[in-house]
Amino acid sequence: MIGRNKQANAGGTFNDYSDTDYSATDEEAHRSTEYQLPSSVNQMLTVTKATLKLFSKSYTFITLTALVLLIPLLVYAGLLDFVLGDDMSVYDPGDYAATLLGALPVFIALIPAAVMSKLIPSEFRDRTAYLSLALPQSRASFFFGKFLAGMLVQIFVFTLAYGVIALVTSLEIGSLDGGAVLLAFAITIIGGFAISATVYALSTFMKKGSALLLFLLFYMVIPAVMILIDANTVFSDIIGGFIDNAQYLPPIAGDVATFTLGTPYELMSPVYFYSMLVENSGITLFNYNSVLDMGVYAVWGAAFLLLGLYRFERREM
Amino acid sequence: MDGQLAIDVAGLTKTYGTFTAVDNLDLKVKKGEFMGLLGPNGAGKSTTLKSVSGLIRPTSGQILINGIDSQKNHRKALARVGCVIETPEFYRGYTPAELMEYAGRIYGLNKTETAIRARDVLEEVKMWEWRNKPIGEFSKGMRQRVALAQALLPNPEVIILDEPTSGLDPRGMIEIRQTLNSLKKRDRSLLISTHILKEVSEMCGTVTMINHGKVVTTGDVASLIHQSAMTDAGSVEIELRTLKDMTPAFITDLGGCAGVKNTEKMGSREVKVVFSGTDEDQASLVDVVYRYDLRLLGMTEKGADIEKLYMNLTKGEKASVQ
Repeated sequence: MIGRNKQANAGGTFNDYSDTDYSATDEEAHRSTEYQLPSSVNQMLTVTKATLKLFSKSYTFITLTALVLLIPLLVYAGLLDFVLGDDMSVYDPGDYAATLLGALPVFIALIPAAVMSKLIPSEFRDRTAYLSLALPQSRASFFFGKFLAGMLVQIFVFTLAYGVIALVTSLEIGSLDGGAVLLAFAITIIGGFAISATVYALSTFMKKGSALLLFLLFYMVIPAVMILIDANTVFSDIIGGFIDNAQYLPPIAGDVATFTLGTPYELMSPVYFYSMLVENSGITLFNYNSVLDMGVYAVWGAAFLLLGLYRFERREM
Repeated sequence: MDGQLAIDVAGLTKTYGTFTAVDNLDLKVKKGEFMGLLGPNGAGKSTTLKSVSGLIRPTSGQILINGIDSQKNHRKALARVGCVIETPEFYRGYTPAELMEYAGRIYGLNKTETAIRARDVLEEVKMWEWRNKPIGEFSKGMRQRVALAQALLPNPEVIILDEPTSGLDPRGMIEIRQTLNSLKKRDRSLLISTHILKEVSEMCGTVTMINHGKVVTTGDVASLIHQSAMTDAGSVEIELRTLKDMTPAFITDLGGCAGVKNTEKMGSREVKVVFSGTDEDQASLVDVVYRYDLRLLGMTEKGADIEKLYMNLTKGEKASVQ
């Protein structure tokens, strides 16, 4: 008879069973026990934990973390000064940090696309939904559980990025304005939430999910459309100050966050890049309201999340 | 709707555009009953099981599981249900131990309970030694066993299985059938879809056969098999074999039993009886054997097998039985 007592004393871990001749009575094996379902919130958190476990075994998470850790490498190898053609040691802390964060407009689209685009489609493509959706949990718990896991991964990556940048800035130049850093971080997270929710919702309509397609949508298509509209004086006369309103679009959250810190060297800003290509368009992002921006991003994200939930609840095997 | 039913499906219809996969289907599985769901490919078996387990939304109809409407309250309806639908696929990086932990938490088991139940079910399906290996490296049969373990983990009252022995070798099939048969002692209800007729005849007390999305027949397996053996005149042929030689007096007495239309001696110890009586009448034939102390060796209804029943009911379809 296997020691249930032995197992119970050891806290019920698998490694306690070292012998192979298993036998247990009905009582020992709990074969008649009735279990009570946990709350939907607990089930959602179980899905989150399970998805995080899968992330920890995936290359996506390791790659993103490695990219962040490249920042100090670029700085201390002198590569950043070389690429920018400028001596960054004369920058003030805010401008320095904003320049280090210069890739944010790319990563605020790339990271959500990489993390979120396949979470739902892979469940149907790989048929793991046959397992998960036949369990006694609501589709909403499952949907939000996976989204939360994706957001936690992104929060970790962006937190690491901001932490590294703040540390490098304070070592090289001087200390940053803590309030500005927190505000920039909040804009990044909430902007990332809006983009993540959009990617996540659009992926519920897709068979396979495409990180590249969704990244290009946010990093290239939407900004390009904005620039073209602004460059057309007919439209800009009608709409008036359109580019000032572009700050409310989540793809521009990266620009808003970096401008909150200081004036970045806008190497990777899609707004700046495209504006250089289009005549009659000299676009910089100076007149922005970060609090209102965050409010718009939050509402945008919530709306797309609800759209995604609506679609997911109706999607069939 | 009857409160003593484990699964109560009424008027289930599922259409995809102009195609009707399931058409006004009724299905009732009593508590403690093992029901087989039989039908050729494309009959609507998987669609029916997916509707019951909540993987697809029916176009119309009602599905009650233990009296709870599964469309209105999916969580509560499936709280005491274990399912394996179609070929199971798992998160590739997961091990069976991690899968049990995930499923256990969803069902409400704590860490200790999950460890105890996981050990029990993984041992039962002979997968305990593989508990910490990635499922992605498993064969189809091994994944099938893990899926069954996951379904049995929370001590479900109702178990819904879609071809559970698919991909298993003969030994594996026998072991799984033994596992499922042991659930009868615990008063569990089982709805199993299978192409393997032997599984139905060995495990199930009732069977529902569907074709083109409709129920063709439903009922007690033994009675349906008995009916399949009947000739057009409503009688069956029974072959009796004894250890001792049959005497003329015995044959005469046998011929005089209620329900016996004709007797034909096939050998000194074998007789064929054309019979159209009741079960009571059939039992009386055995009484005659014992009265003459002939030592009964065997009594079989000729042509009474589930293959014949299946073939009769699915005439015109391509065979998909084993």
